[in-house]
Amino acid sequence: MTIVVAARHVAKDYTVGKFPERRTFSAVADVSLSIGSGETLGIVGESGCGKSTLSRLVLGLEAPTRGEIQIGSETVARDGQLIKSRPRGLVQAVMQDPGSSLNPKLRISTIVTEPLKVTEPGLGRAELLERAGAALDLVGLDRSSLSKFPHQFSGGQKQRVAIARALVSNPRLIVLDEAISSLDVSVAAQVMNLLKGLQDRLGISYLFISHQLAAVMYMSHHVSVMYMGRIVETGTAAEIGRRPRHPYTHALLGAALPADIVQARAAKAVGGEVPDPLAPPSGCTFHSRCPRAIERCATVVPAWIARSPTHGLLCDVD
Amino acid sequence: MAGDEILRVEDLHVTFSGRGGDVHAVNGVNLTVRRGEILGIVGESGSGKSVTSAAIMGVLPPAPACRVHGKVLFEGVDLLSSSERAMQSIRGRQISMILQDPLSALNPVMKTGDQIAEVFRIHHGLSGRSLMDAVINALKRVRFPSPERGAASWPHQLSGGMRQRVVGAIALGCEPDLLIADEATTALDSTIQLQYLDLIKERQRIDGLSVVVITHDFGVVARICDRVAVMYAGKVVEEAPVETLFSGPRHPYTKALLNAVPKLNTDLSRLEAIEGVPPRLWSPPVGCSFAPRCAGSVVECTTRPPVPVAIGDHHSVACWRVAS
Repeated sequence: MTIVVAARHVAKDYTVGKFPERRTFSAVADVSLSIGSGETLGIVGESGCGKSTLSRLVLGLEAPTRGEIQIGSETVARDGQLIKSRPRGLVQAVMQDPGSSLNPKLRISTIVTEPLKVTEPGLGRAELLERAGAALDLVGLDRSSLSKFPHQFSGGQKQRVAIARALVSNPRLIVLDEAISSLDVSVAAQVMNLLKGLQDRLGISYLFISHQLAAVMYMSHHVSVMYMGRIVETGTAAEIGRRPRHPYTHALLGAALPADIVQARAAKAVGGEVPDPLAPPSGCTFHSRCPRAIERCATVVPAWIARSPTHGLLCDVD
Repeated sequence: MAGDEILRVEDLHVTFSGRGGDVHAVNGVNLTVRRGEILGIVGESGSGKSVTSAAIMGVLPPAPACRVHGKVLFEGVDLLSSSERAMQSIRGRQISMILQDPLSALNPVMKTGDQIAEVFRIHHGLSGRSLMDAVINALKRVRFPSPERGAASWPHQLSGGMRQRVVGAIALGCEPDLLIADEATTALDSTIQLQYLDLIKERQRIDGLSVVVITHDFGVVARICDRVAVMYAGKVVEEAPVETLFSGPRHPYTKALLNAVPKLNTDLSRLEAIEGVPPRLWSPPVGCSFAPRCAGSVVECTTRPPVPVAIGDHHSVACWRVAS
């Protein structure tokens, strides 16, 4: 299978505060991933784990402080620099809130064709409208929507417009950052099914980022669990869902509340909260909350252990 | 009104006047909350669940922008006909509320301890040392780690989960009889959400707190609720004990909603989404509001609104097909 996006040991540091209290922390500490064509990689984790920073790195909105990102066979960012000649339009995004990601003053036709002005600047008006119309067909919206404004649509329809805008430049990867989180249950199901259908038809890849574990499991072929800027476990959806090995994955799965009375009542909360990223715990960053922690966890940074070609984790305590 | 009922909502109607005409946000809702019970109200946006809770708290905008009919009986007293002065002594002391976003619920330029202190000053007239003790106790009750430090901090210095605990300390400070939690854990991470829900459950068990949990999340309902009412387009369409609702939902909307939620560890290639969108509340359908999206609707569904009928132990459904 061809690799659509690959990240190698990427990190993103931010500096906060004013002199003399300036401090640097790593929102993404060290992440490697790859997504094959037609595949979905799901990222789960709590707020502050770095999943949105990771999505900004993959989108090329920010340069990684360290590491390298490849889209297809081209390197698009390396060691603090975005490469200027990088291809555009191959990676698109759908964000959480279509109410704020769609400009309320623009017609749908303008919104949906905007990416093409960058990726294919020579297109005439008729071609632009045809491309926008085709994108609306794909997401199940009527072509008459082109002359409307965002406020004339419901939340789910607005998110369909956002998906159409992402599709219009024929991207190979769409980053879906909490793309279904603000939608109602019944509408979220429609949008997830739409995304899956588009993937089957177009062979497009997704980076599906969400804090809703069940949604990630439903959407993804592979799932990576993030904690404090690192992927602590990765595997196929079945490996993560049925045979999780990392104590944090256990904690996340254990705290999820599915719509099932037996499972929801058996859920167990892991103690404590995510530590302050400005002062991450030494050794394994999860040791302060880990029920399995032993002495060396507080001092030794765990190494990546591959359990199968698809399954690996950042913990060697069994 | 039976002595074991703390709250009874009777035929509640809430109508907002808008530019496009009247919006019928709540259309004849009947609910009861028994003493020491956790009632869940589940619904999607626009179902009227939050407007119902605002009506109970008496925090809806005044007429003519908003018109309220019906009764909200709290301990037998109709809150809708109570004076604002009477409501002020009820709110925060007997009924309190936790909303979704703690950052907008808290005052950013006031230390958290001072914000918690307000409820004790106003409702119990405390001051000085006893006020400070009450604040620390309130933080302890919501299991705030290092309450002394928490009281001295500003909201922006706390994490989302800790801010929501401060809101909880304010809401539960005066040991209210009824708590309304309106999407109180929606903004929290899953591990923090669970800690918070268990905290509410603990207050129910220890203090006999009655709770109305308003949520869109069936997982939250399954975790802590005793009974559940499902709302759609301003009406309660199904009401049942939690076990009954999950094992045998009867209303087509409840069934569809439960099927639309992804579950963990089920091999499912496609979710059963509910096609269509909820009705426009300024021109609700003549018959059953769900009929346009319902796979099994019959002629009657589009001509007359269904009335709730009891179909089992404390289980009622408003659906013509279930009734016949």
